Amino acid sequence: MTMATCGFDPDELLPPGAGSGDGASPGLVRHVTGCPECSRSLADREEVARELRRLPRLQAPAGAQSALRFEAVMERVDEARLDARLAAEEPAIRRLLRLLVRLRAPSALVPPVPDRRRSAVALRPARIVALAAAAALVAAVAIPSILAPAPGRSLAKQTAILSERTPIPVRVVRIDPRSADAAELRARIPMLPTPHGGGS
Amino acid sequence: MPTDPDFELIRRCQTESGPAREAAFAELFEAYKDRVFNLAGRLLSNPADAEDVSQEAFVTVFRKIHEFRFSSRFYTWLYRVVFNLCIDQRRKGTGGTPPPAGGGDGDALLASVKDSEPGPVQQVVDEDNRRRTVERALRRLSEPLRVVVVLRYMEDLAYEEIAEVLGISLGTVKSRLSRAHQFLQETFGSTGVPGGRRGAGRAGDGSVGDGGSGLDPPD
Repeated sequence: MTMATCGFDPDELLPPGAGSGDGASPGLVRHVTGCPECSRSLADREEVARELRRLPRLQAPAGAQSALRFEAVMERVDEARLDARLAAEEPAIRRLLRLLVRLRAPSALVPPVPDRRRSAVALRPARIVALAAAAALVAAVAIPSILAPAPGRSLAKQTAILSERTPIPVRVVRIDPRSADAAELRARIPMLPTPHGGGS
Repeated sequence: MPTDPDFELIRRCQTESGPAREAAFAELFEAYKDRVFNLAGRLLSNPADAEDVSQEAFVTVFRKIHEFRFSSRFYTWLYRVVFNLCIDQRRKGTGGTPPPAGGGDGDALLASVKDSEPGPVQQVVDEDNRRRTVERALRRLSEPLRVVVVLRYMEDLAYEEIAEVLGISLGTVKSRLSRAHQFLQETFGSTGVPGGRRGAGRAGDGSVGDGGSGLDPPD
């Protein structure tokens, strides 16, 4: 440290603490009052101290993986507690890992084609059941359509089939709106609106 | 005997057992975990190491809390434990090397710093730049000087308390602080941070310290 020209010990030229109770000594105050060089130097140091005090504290990491959780500390203190937790969690972790491995490499773990023994013993009943179900489905769809009478080609015949063989009566009325008057129209077509705006 | 608001909790840790003891220790843990991590993080410049050392410090304190004799403040004892563990970590060869300015793991630690108060964009940018400059300058200090600065200006310890934590004399504390000031003033001077000594030329070199002697382990 460069000695000031006045000879004052620079190690004593330190800014007072913010909350530590270290106030400036009477000797320092007396000297700085009469020495512009040391006064300037002390002012610079106080500014540096202010900058340093403005720095925020580093924040302890939070979260389940942080080593700075109280539970993590206590598990280090009491290793039996840690062992118990690890033992309790192990089955679930193993299951997850197995699942993960399967998801990542299914062909390596699950044979895509079963071997002959498994095929003969385990899969034969399943195949028989599946074939029977498929055959029943086909029969259920095909038999009614084979047995049902073929529908007639005309519209009246098809309509008769749809309406349980009862034809729907249709009456066609031809009216010339230019020649017929309103009373006649209303008489022949009851759903026409009345002159008051309402329908019949 | 100094009065310390933590003494009651420590007494409970010493006299109680089971959940009551843990509850008292949990209060101490919550009160000091950020300070402990800050000190370890500033000394080790590596978040993972700082986390491990912080945890180890609390484990040590819990195991040895019956040895506390109430002759000093609790936090000076705690900081001393943290400091010793940081020395051990450094001796293992990890965590002690300051990262290069402007990069390295130190920036990961800086990322954990809470953002400053919001304001106009330029003001926030200037403030952020200034903070980074101060952070980098602090990281470039050698550990013996850095720890004194952190304990003094971030943890507000008195010179006597710093001497107690580090196991060094009061004169050494002041001398280190004085040298740290000189370096920081010169560094700030070349970057425009207030308090810097304009025109000083040493800011661009490597870390500054006491000739590479490293940390002085306490007794």
